[in-house]
Amino acid sequence: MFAREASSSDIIKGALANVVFFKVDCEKGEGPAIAEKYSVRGYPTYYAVNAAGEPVERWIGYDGPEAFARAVAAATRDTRTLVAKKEAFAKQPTADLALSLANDVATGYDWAGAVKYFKQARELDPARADECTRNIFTYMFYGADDGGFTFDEMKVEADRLLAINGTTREDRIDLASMIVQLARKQDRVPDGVPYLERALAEAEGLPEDSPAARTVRGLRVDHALLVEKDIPKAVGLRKAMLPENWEQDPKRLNQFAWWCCENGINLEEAEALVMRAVELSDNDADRSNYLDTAAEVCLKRGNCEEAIARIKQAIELAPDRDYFKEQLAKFEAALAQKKG
Amino acid sequence: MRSPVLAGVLTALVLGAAAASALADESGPATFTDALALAQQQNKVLVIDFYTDW
Repeated sequence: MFAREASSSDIIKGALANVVFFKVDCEKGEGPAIAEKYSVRGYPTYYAVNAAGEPVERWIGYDGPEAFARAVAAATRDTRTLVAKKEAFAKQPTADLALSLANDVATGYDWAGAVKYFKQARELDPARADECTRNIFTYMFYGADDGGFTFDEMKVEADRLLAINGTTREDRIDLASMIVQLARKQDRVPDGVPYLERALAEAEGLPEDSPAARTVRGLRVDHALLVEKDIPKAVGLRKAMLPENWEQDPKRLNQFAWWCCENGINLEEAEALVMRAVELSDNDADRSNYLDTAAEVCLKRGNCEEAIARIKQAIELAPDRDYFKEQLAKFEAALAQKKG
Repeated sequence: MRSPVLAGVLTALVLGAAAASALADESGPATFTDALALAQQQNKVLVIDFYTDW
């Protein structure tokens, strides 16, 4: 996305006019060593460094020309190192410093730290509250998996986000999708339903080829599953999201089986389909992953012995994968518990 | 096991934006050391785009 927009966006061109820009392919040449030096964890990651190579800004992901230009501008406006900025913030907090530090800690995947700094920036400069709120919600979403944020905390930020002027229909659809995921994970489905229903109502008339259309199709599956509680309908809608000939594609078969497993539905077919993926796969690495899915499906069906047999097959194919050994221990514990 | 295709919003964000190579400035510095030297010479900040072709 960055590449596409960079060649056409005057905003990006303008931002890069004031800096030296250098791209590092993290898998080629000197790339891996430089990425390691800067502790790069995901792609794309951007660093702005001074002549000594010390970071003055860093941020992860590409979130459009404006956000990119803002980050570059922050680096050229204040060329103190991030270490110095942190010290300065401790003495005299400013919104600019809070935003720099928020992006810094987010680049290290410290979501709670990022949210804290973005909240401070929002208080320090209400004019940038909307930008901060978008980031707060996004990083709360990332951090929610580790139990970092409660559904109620996120709901407050979601509602703030929805109240922002200029929030688009696509934004609201994305937000609904995220809120529904969180509601499910935190056992708060009824609280996620209003967002789901509002988004679906708004999606009426949305062109099928629009970027948000796939998200909407996912929301329709959620609605069938969580609101209508119509499992055959949900399964049908989920299958309809898969590309043509998915039943011959091991990755898609596994993907669908995993979805069934996660939702605890359609497990008999899920098991048959993922075993077909095992047969169709052309390499042991994928085959072992599919066997792990099969094992999880067996466990969901209450068949611990079969789960153990499947995961042992996976271990045979990928003996170095510690994860599969952990899975085996989990299935053996489930069997022991079942036997009482 | 969860398919990489479903592996979460962050991954989607990160992978979706990964193909940053098209902005290559063919006349730009060839190595990181050169880039750093150029930034020093021009008294500018060096912005590094860490990407992969995944």
